[in-house]
Amino acid sequence: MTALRAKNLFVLHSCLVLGVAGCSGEQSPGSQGSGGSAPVASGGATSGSGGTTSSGGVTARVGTSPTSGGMSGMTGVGGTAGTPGTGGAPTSGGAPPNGGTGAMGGGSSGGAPNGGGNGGMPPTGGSGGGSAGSPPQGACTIEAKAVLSEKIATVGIVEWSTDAQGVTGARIEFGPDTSYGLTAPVDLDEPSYRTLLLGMKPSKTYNYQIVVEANGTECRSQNYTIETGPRATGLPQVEVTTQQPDKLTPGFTITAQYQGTDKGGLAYILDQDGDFVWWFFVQGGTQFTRAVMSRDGKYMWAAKANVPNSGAKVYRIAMDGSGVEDLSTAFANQNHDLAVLPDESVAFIAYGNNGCDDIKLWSPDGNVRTIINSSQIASGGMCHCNALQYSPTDDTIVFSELNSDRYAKVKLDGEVVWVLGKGGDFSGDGASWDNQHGLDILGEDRLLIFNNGPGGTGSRSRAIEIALDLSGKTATRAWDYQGSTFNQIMGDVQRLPNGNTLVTYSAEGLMEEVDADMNLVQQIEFAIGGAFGYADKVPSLYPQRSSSD
Amino acid sequence: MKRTTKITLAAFVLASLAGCSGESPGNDTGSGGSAGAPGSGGASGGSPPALGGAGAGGAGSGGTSGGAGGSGGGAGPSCGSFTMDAMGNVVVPVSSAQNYTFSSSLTISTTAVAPNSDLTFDWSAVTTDFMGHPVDPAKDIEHVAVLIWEMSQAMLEEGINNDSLKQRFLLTGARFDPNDVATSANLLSFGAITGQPITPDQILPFLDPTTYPPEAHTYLVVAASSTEIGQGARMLKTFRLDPTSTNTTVALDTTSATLFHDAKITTAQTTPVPAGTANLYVDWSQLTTNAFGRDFGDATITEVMVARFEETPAELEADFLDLELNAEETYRGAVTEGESLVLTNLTNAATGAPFAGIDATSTWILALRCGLCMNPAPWYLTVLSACP
Repeated sequence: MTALRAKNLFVLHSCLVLGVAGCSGEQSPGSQGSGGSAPVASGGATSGSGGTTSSGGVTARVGTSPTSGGMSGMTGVGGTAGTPGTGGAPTSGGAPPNGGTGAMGGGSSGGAPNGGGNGGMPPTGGSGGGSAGSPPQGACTIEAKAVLSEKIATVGIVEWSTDAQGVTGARIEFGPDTSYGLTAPVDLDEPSYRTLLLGMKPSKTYNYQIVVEANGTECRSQNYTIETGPRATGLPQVEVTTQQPDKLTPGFTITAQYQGTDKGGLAYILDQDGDFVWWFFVQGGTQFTRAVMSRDGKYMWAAKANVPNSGAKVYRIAMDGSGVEDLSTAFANQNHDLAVLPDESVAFIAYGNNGCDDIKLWSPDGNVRTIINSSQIASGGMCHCNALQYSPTDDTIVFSELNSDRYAKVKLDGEVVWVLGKGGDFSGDGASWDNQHGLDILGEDRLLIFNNGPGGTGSRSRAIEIALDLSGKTATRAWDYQGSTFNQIMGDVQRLPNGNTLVTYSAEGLMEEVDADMNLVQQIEFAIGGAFGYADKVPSLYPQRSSSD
Repeated sequence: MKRTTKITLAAFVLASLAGCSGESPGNDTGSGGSAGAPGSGGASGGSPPALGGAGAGGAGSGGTSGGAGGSGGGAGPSCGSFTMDAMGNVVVPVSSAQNYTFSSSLTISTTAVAPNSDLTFDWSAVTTDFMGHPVDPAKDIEHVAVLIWEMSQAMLEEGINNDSLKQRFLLTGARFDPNDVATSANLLSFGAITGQPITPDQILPFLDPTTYPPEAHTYLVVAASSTEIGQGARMLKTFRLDPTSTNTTVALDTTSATLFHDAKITTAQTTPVPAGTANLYVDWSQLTTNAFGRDFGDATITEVMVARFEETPAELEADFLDLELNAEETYRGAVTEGESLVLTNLTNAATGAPFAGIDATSTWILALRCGLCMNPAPWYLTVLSACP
């Protein structure tokens, strides 16, 4: 009780001294109670309107947009939701105003020193938690502060503390309004429970609330707000058309700019509206073909095409933009693609000594070993590997060898499991095509491939789902989508959780999401100069985010 | 037979069709960044002196006060009282009335060629570029690109003019690097745009008019003074697949493409700023259209430039294509985000000296440039007038 009182005095002191708006001494009734623990949120913003074309990435021009130098969003103290009320009637009061002046700004926190909004005091309006199966609401104090990343204006960084004992878990729920919609899991090992808010659009106000799990109960902070900064210049211009908004897969698309920019290599993330929610320019980087997040969600890997071999460029970027590691030396001769395994090791393609690429594995301790040289699965002559993916169900890697028109599955010890393609282990209409790049492993006996097609024939590229009869050694085209255009360089495919397929025409600067009936759900078109690499749409930017795991 | 096709262009940087525009260097450390909120608007009071005689409705010196006039003069912001932003910077008035206007058109000639042929591209006669600047075809041309568009020439023209070309319509391409030696090359000696070698079967099939009907495909040749695709175009030409033609040479010369442009600087209102003041806050977020009359877009301006000239605005207007060449001093600042910049962020491109403000002894201009756009002409350009 003494500690509680001290915290409240501090709050009042801050309000009086800083004169921060919002220090009205009113009780903080907390936010609308959403009750219970929410799962890791999927998706983000609402889907776009049907059939209309909007300029993706356009945000309201804000003449008063803050500097990128880490404007502090909302801060505030205390103001946890109280005990479960009678129905969680939503209240919006108590939300501190925007544009805080720095840490420990003034959230309204209740006027009395042992007061309102700080645990144990049922606020007016209730605070939710009434739903069946939800953990009971506990009582604790939560103090939080948030700033924006200095490098990426859409990344919020929240640090907070609590007096709750026996904390077993925590999350931050956030979104454009107090119904939130996005959830950031908290790593309890992080100092100050430092947590990134990822997936926010530029120049928007977001609400967030910290939820602490302790002793079988949940304790919620008051609602805070944070305003993201403006979109960076130098990002490609996109045009988004959503033909079937009801069918659109929620989530975030991660990719990288294939063509160089004058600001360096660019990795970025789009939300389902086609808005840029994360970006990073890497000085010295260029022609990125792959951007992929680490398994722990803390980093973005980015790698250059490196075709022809002019030296690998592989970077690991902190998601809060605070730093970039140049790992090019460790990934010597890397080209085209890399994949992050569950233990954070990274499989990658590298030029070999015999005219054929190696598939290698980098471990977090810095060790690099060769899994296999692609000559072992190629049909002869020079090899040109261009894509790979890790299969978690059987701990294998499937990679593409373009010159042979083949894919091969290999164990991590280099043992070849099968070779699919011309002259490979399988027969049937799913065992032959002309030119391929990206792939998506759908199961041990099924995969999706991006079939570029033969250039100069007027044909269009295809996304082909291939079903393998592993015992009968046949391969059948289970789903064969003729795309909108021919894409000669790169290209990718991904089956999405709702059955849609993302088809990425990399060099054409075009992404299409189609439903199982091959009808367009959404098109994202890039302006000239906007060619990109491989793309991956994920339901969440937090761990356990991959749709193919 | 030559057929001349007029293309309205933004594009002496047709080059940037296939790649980055290679504009001002930015960095990921955020040298820009806006200051706080702008003030409440422009100055009031009398209008500044007009430039070079009044344009349509021009105010002339000491005109009446009033709101911003329409384009082409009229009463505009004055040296009266400047507003300050929250950080103490002087707010520079920005409006369409103060913006110059610009239009351009590029005429590109076309040559009929025999389909499916190992064409010869010859640029030895390119001794001046399409802007009239001298060229050494052996030393100045660093790459020649062939870009195949999946659209008619009319559509390409429209897309270039409107800066609305989409990447998806660039079907494929090839490049050749002369290495200071060659002034001609055969198509089969070209490589992929990305640099790797290509085989005949990877390029010749794209020269089949049956598969790629000429009415729906455009073949563009670009000779450029840059190693980067998309930068430094010096001459352009298109060729058309014609089954009746036996010609297998695409020869570029000084007349293959000609640029016509029209820049109107003198008819715009000037922009008053305190002399010798560097902390000038420029916020263009309220602009809706650019100098070409097109939508301003979002986060499109990547560079702010201030330059000093001995020439008068009328002389700059007459020699607009050499604007940057004629500048006595040029200060540049990268815009890394948002739609504003304080001019203390500008540095002299040659000396590194910080921008220190303007004076009344020279002509100063402020320009906003879109680094990712095909048209390198500034989206916003205004003459700064020094206030005591």
